[in-house]
Amino acid sequence: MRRGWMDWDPAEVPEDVMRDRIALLAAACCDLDVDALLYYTSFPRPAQVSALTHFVPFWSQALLVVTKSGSSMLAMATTGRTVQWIKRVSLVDEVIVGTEIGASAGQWLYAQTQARRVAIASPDDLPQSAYEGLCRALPGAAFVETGSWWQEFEERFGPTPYVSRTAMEIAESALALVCSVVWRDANALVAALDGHCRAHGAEEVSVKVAPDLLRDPTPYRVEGLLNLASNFGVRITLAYKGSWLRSGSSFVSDGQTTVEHPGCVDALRALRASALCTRNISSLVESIQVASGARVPDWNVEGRRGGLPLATLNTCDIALCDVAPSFASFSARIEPSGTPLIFSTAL
Amino acid sequence: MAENLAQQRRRALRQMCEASGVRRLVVYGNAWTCDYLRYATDFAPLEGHALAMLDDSGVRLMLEVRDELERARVEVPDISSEWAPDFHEQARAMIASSTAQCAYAPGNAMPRGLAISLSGSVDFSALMQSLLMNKLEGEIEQVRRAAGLADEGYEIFKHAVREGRREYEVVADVEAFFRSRGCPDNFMIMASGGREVRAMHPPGARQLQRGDMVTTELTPCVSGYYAQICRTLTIGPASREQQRAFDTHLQALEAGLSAIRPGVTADLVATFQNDVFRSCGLGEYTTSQYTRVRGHGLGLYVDSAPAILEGNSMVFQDGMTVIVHPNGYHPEAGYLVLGDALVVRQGGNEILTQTPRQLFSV
Repeated sequence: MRRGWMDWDPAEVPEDVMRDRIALLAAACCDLDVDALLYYTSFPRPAQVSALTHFVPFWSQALLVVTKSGSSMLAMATTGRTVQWIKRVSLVDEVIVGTEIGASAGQWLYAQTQARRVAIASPDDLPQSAYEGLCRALPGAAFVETGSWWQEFEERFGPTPYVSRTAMEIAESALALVCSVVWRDANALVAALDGHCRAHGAEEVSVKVAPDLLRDPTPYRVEGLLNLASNFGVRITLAYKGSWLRSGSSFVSDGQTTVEHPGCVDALRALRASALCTRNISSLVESIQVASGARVPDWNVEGRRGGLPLATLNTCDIALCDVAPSFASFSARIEPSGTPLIFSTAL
Repeated sequence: MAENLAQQRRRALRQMCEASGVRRLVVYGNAWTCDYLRYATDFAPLEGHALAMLDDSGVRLMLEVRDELERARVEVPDISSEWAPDFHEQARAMIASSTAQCAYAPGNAMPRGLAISLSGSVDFSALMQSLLMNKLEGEIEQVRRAAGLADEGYEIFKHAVREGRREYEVVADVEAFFRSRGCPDNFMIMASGGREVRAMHPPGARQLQRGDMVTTELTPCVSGYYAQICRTLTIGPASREQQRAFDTHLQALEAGLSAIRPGVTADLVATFQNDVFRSCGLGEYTTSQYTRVRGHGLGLYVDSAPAILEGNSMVFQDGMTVIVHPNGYHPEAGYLVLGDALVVRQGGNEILTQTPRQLFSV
């Protein structure tokens, strides 16, 4: 559940940017020969609607309708008392509340346009109950999928430079805390990083820890009390105003001081320098190998896809695309000298 | 070796499946609807879709987000987990891999991409919901521990609220406290201000001011089980209107707590609370325009069945864990919250949250 700062500041995300995106979709309705486009959102799948309206449900689910005339409506599964808040934190022409989001969206569409042909982005992700409500409210309408068509817009509808830069700054300043003292228990470390990110405006943060890299380099969510070994890894997943990233590194402590592991410092430096010249993912991986001399047995490039803010785009297992989009997150496990290390960064 | 809680739950689920003639159960989850999946697998997804299939051969867990697979392998090592980048197609293939009688849950959250391959299967949601509501003693103990943490969290909240601070800074302090205690998740919303406040929400950048009423509900999680507390405070001394509004809410909470016991309906508990407002001429403010529910179940989800609402005929049973909270708008003071978590008991309910029921001022 989202519980960090949620607000809309036109200085960070200008109104024109959002209105232009809706206008582009309205024009696309004509190209696709549909009366309207539908986008589903819930807090696990917020990316599409967030990119179009700045709205992220902190709770529950919603359907965004964009008509070919350029009007937008959000059908949100909540009660009327939250409408004021929704309008304050997002840019949408109309908000309708009620438990049946499919029926609400369908009835509104019928009243507005008597829609006969409606496109749904990622219809497989839509709850079946919402789909059935939509079909009941729009009998005889044809529903078409827009998944592949939407992908063209994903790169163009990314976070604004201010927002992505702020997300990165929050994550970097949080990671700097790791070396500020010697952490013996993972809970205190997670608390410090979580609190720091939220106090600096993060909309959401999740801190995972690999408490003993020599035993297992897998980062996981700390539940209960946990100590740190001398070699440990941290991975922060953070959202700021709809912009998501993963950031992290590996650290070593001698009981007096904590430092970022030199192997990670070298690898991250090489990766970031390489990313200034190329977005080709194979080249990025190669740059790490060359700089650190390390094996890279596991890596994962993530970014927005469909409703997911961080979906795998390419990995050591499966190549889904060759080029890292802007503000993709790159995570890797490297083995420079037998010790497995982990790191993550936004590129 | 004694069974742990996850094993006890899975045994209860297996027995229910056997009694219903179900050979194979498909359970869906995501970060929002995670309780059914956690009950079956002890894994709560944070990102993407997740689907578990339980049958005679064991439990298979399919995860849409690769980062989640890494976590699952550490957190639930006894379960066979796999990454499914083409989630719907791979999950449909898993569902089609067996011809055994299939059931699924929860029906209302099932994505269309999976629902189309489950047509003809049995909707197991209601039966599984009864397991989620009627807790094992080990589950109640976890809710009890979470309630203790909620009380401690409210103390932190009281200290965090100061004139000039922004709402999100207050939340940061509370969340950091919960993480320091090994609590990985907490549902928390809040509001600050006066009569203009109609609901709680995630924190904004508003700076707290003297005279504000500040509301919050904290819902920390222990071993997957959530307990909730709702309280209101004022910055500076409470005004006469704020105190009068609080007194009405206190009366409503006590009416709800006096009504709830095994055998009564959620409707009755809501009616007892709403009657207090009606008797004060505030009946208008008991509608969905001004409030949501008069309480709800607690457990592996922050807001479980039964919803304490007029018209809900669901009957409380011994061992259910719930919160009673007559949260809502008061025309003299704004949005006000007050609620306590409890275990419904035949011989008298066990109130879990211990923070005094008062309008605090800081």
